[in-house]
Amino acid sequence: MRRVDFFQTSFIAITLFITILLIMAIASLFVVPSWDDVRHNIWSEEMRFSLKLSLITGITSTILVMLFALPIGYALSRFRFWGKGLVKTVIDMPIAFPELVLGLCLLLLFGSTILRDILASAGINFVFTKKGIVAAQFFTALPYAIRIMKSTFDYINPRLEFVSRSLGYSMFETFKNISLPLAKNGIVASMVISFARCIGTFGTVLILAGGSYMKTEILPITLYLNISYGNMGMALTSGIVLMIVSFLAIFVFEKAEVSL
Amino acid sequence: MSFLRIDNLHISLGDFYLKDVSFTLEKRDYLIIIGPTGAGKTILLESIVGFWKPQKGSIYLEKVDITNELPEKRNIGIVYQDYVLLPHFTVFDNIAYGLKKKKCCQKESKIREMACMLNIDHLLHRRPDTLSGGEQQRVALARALVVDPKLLLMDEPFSALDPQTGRETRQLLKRVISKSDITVIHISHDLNDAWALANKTAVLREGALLQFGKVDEIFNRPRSAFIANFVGATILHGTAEKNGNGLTSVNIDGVKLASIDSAINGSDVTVAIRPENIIVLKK
Amino acid sequence: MKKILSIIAFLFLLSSNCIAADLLVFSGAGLIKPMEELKINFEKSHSIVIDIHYGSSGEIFAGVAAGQPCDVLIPGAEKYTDDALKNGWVLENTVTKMVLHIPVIAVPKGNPAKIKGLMDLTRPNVRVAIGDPKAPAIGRVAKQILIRGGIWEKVKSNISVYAPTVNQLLIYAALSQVDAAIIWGDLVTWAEGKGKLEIIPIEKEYNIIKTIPTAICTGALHKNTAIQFNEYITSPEGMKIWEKWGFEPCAE
Repeated sequence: MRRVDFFQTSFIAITLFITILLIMAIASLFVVPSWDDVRHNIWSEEMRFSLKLSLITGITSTILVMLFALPIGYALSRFRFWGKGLVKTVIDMPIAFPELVLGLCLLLLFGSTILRDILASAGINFVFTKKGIVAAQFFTALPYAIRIMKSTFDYINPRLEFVSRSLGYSMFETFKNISLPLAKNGIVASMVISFARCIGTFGTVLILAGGSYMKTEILPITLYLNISYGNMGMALTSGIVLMIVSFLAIFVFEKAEVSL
Repeated sequence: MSFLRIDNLHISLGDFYLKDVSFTLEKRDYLIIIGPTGAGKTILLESIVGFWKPQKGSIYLEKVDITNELPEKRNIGIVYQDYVLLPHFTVFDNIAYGLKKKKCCQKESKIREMACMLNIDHLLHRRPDTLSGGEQQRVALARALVVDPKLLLMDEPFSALDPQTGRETRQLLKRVISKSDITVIHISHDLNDAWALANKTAVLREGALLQFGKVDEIFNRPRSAFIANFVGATILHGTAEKNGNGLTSVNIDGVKLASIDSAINGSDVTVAIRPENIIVLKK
Repeated sequence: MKKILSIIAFLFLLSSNCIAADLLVFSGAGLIKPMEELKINFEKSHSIVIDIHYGSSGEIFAGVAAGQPCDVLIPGAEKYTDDALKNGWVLENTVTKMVLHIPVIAVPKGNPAKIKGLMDLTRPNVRVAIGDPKAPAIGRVAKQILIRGGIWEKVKSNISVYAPTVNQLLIYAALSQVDAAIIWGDLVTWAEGKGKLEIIPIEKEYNIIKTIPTAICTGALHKNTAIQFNEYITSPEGMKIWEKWGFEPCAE
């Protein structure tokens, strides 16, 4: 009995220790800067630009991510096809990549292959542009969204879909009537994780989109730029704004899970 | 010409497979399929509905080759052991789901009539997760039957229910089926289902169809020791001997049993005895 | 349990070791190659431990301003030591000019846009990269050079990226994402040697050559070691290492 006690208390102690450490780390972001400074910085032109661009690109990327994650997650969960094991590994790979490596890969892909010419003829350029921010965020967040969607569909009994088809509904109608509504919570979770991931992406955006001041500047870039300007007040303010956006995203996520 | 004909059906799906399964059913036949776990019974049903493409063989329904037909075009109903009701719909909407797809009139009255027959008319506004197992299975039955399928397939429909509920549901099912002219294939592990509901029985083992025939044929003339044992006969081993009056006599540890079946003199044979054929007389 | 305790003890030892560095240096990130070599040599000859923190000039300057412990400050441009001197953060007689930082135009291999000098950057459809004028020292210098040449407004429309880090400029030029990048000459010597880039010098009349200074902080905890270190890195022996990495010694 005493052994179990020791085991239990030490594990709880470790948990609490880390939690307190995290709370302190987060709190210090709010305690260190002067509030006048923060208030001034939040309404600055740079911050408004950065926040607006972050939200626009983040939402655009999230929508694009979901448009791809839904069919890919469903295909990986339901269908048997040649090379599926390889596909799964490749799709998961960006999770293990450092962001900088992913950014470099995308730069090479969109900047120096035939793909660049094809995209250019369609009027799309990803290098040093706002579209590049979206592309960088898309590829960073996509693997997470696919993982969540796949496990969501894994949990939906395929027999529900079988029954629907036996009652006269096509595969697509079944997907629309059964699979999608039942995957609702997974979709919400996946959207929120994607959005948080998009908003927070730094390295990939820095390399592909350049991270130019007031041009391709999103919140993490603002944070980094102002560290290198030596403007700590602005850097901390963008940190706080990022933190608030992420917190709201996680809050929605938890809410969606509770209603499951 | 038969109503349903299955020719040399061959399917392989990882651990589960079917090899060269063939049989035919007439309209209004009620087939019970029995067999041990992993025999491929569920796959057989699911390939008849069209969820799996056979590697070989063909399926004919009313003389039409439906082997490559989409499931939604086949008009075959399926009922599973675990009910699989649509959790985001009410009971009414679950039953109405298949009807919505059909251009037919009086949907509402059709649903109520079916619900009445299956004793679930008081549950129509409820959500599936608030129902008992027996109630859920009756909803699943109503959902499958209300669209008037040509063929009804059931995969162990009573095995998740307690014995009492199982018996009640079986009686209800029998009543509903007898009022229609539907053809049924029903997987069961309960031999009583065969006697109570079916006119035909099939035994499946390791993907192969071992025997197919009338119910009493399977029970009284099992084709192998495995089937005999599976349907409840006692199995004994002995040696065949010629008997003077033309019958075969089997010597089992000195006890001699006479049989009208023939066997080569001196060969080792297996004898199956059904419990109802053992007559015990008081001294 | 003993094992865990000994691991924890070991970790403490490690971390205390870091804190107990014998010399703390803040250096511009662009100087990493020669600084690392100088550091290793000095550590060997004096058997001490040096901790060097690399960052953009603005970043390390802000670090000193915020009162982070620092013995030697080596930013990418004199402006920072001058400002630090005004604020009294570095000791007056310790500010020493060391080497020259010469801006050049780096172009991808083969020079696709046929850049021959600074004025070619104004040609339409030439893609130019410069550092963010507020972040790395090279960004500010590049802007000043363009202003001095009277072409800032014209080149501005050709600038496809203001990179927050010097390394991005290198990558973009080497991968042909831009036709020209204004960057420190010393940074591209290595890439040029590998045949990834070509260097186009900037005309003397426009160029702004910076000197890299070193200074000892007012709050230095290891003042004597700091003086010795500064003597070493400005000595003829130290200069050889600077030259090896593409820096030119100051004339004085």
